[in-house]
Amino acid sequence: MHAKSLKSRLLCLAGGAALVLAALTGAHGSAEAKSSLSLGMVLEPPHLDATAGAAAAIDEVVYQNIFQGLTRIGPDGSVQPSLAQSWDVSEDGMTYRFHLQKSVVFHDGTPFSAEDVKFSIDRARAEGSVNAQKPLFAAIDEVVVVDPETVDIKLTTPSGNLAYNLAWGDAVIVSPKSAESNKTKPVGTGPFKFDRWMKGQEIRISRFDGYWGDQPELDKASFRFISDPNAAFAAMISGDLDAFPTFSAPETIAQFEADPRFEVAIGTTEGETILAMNNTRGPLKNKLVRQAISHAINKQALIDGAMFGLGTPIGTHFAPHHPAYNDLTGLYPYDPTKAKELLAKAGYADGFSATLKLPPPTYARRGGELIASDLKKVGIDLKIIPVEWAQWLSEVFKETNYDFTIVSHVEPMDIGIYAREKYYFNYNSDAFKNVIEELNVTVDEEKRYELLKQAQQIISDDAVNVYLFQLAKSGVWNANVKGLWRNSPTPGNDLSQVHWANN
Amino acid sequence: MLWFAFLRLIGLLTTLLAASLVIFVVLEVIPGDPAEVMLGLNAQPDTLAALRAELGLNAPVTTRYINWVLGMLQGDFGISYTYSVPVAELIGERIQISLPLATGALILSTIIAIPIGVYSARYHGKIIDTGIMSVAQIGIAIPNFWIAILLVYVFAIVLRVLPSGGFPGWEVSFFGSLQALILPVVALALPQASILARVMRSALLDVLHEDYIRTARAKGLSNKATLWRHGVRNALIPVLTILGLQFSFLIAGTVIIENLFYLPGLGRLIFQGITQRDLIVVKSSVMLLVALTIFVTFLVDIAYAAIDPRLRRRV
Repeated sequence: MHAKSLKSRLLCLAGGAALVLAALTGAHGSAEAKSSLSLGMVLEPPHLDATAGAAAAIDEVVYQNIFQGLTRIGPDGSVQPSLAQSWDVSEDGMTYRFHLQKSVVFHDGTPFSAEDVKFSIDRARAEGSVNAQKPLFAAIDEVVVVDPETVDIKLTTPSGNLAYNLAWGDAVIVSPKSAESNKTKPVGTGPFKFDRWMKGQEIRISRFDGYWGDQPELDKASFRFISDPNAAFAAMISGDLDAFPTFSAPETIAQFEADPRFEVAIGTTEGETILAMNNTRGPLKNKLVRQAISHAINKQALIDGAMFGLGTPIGTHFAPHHPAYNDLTGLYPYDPTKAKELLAKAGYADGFSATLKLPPPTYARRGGELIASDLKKVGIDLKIIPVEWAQWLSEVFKETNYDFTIVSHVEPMDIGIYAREKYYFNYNSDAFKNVIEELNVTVDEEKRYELLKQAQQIISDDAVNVYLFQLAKSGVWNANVKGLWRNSPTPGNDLSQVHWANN
Repeated sequence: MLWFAFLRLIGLLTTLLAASLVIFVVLEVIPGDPAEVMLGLNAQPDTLAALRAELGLNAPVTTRYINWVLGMLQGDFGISYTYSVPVAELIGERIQISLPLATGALILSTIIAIPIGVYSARYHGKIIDTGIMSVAQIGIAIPNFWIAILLVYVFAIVLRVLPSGGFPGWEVSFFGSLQALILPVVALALPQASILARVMRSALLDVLHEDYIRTARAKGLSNKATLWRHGVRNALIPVLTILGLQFSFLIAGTVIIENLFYLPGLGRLIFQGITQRDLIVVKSSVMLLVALTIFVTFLVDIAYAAIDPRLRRRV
């Protein structure tokens, strides 16, 4: 190779690269006809079978878009008809009769009938089933096909929760023909059918022309997975995404609020964020200590500091938007002096030291530091141990090897976990168990609310955990996008009512 | 030469086997049960047992290790716990992004670095040299994720000429896919280019003190011709070594960039696999990267031995 040629080749290469770059940067950002929606999500679902996994991301793609249940949860959290247009409860409360929608077909053309309902529910509750929410079906004794459009569900004990339980993503109706391949090619009865999954990147769905209900206005939608908050922000601001219904970076919300191109929707979720305590460990065995800790934490400062003001204070393990909510936020007001008194009374005048294991979400990592500083003021020294999610599940949740942890419980209506024999709080109260037992067999709504309120009171009096705040759902979307849910009474991004205002 | 290559090959296989054992054991001992991660807080013990059986997690450790290694030898990387598709398929999809990304960054950094390094060496000690080397120093110090954020801000948010991230897929839009790789490639290339420019400069300065350069000059060759014909060509050898090292580094180093630009590449696959405890995906993709790195090193070794006979005796 001669000297000239080496040099000129290098120059040529550089010049060529510059040309390619110039050519490539031209066409981006052209206007498109808006009958489609691109929607951002933080986590990618592991698979798309809502009946075989706990990941909320599965429901955030498929629930009510691809799959439907007998009943559905509406935007306000109420139970509404879906594949069942109505239902009756027998006098003794032991049999539910569901009347099904007519002329429903699955996306592959298979007609839907009562047999599919029996198949789906029996499959979910079967021994060896990998349904993540099997307790939802615990009260069911038998599913009986009356005729192709009618199904009876017989119970072992009366259950006031059945219609609500059947509205969960884990209880959606699948076809025996496609049940096994739903993980990768979901086939449901919903208004949208599955098109394509580019793993690590996005899932595409499109309008299903054979849908039994009202046709949605969107003809296409894509769910894109962006876990990095900076990238999520850039994707929204640059217009690459139309909506981010659960936005991951609360610190940027103010910037979106100031920009007229965007609508910011702060709603509620079912996520009770708690400082969980191991009720059988050291000083935490003592109720007075747990109450002292409840007094020592400034919850509003925590919401402001860790969540940029997004979040609602709670006093117990219950969502404030529910009609049976018992407002106990006044039970343990921020009062370090009172906390010290209680600690002294319990025999820990000099405080003690303990560990605080924090899973990855922002609310836990940021909140943990503020809580540690609050507790230090009353003499409790916390050693912060950050853990990954998988490690949290195994060390904290399963082996209960922890003193304190922060986590958000996002399952709807999950106060019953306090009655479980082995649950990671290690809380054991006969009084509470009795209330829950009675609740499970009560069908009368008013009586149920009364019992739920009692249950909330008991765990708060016992200060099982410190109830910090209800996680907010901070959504950001293009101001012209209408019809997305503001609240999140259950995981899901129901696109059936979504449309563009300027069309 | 053949004997040398044979010995190197034996070494390579031993290293691969050792690596597979280390990867397997490390992933065995880290806490976190894949079945628990998949089923979440409400899972019942019998559900967990059913899933564990489905995933084949109940077999003895040794059986699982042997099955894994034997499977890989036949090109079977297992089935992903979470995605329920063959791992080989996942890796195949992801490599279509990671490979162009790493290769693009390597080429771009070379194109930037070589002329700059040469220029700097030529004006060694002058203000221009000091200036370029200070900039290169900054380039090394600034992490590539910060460069990435700056690039996104300028080109996607302010100028709106390039996408802020994502990847349409080669078969969907070739043009769009190229576009999507521009900013990530630049973000990856700039720090590498800074390192490479410094290496090029110092290698060239070393070479310029050699006797054959003086001879070339004595023969009456111009400064410029000496520099390019004898200097640059000889200085490229240490630069190629660094390039070889950078390639494996780039493949692994794409994790952050792939996250920032939400590109579905191999780095992000491993990252996701770890958080979701999709151990089979992590094991197999890490093994693939290790094999790739070892293989590149092997090729470099062989190439050196081919060029420089003295090296063959130092086995």
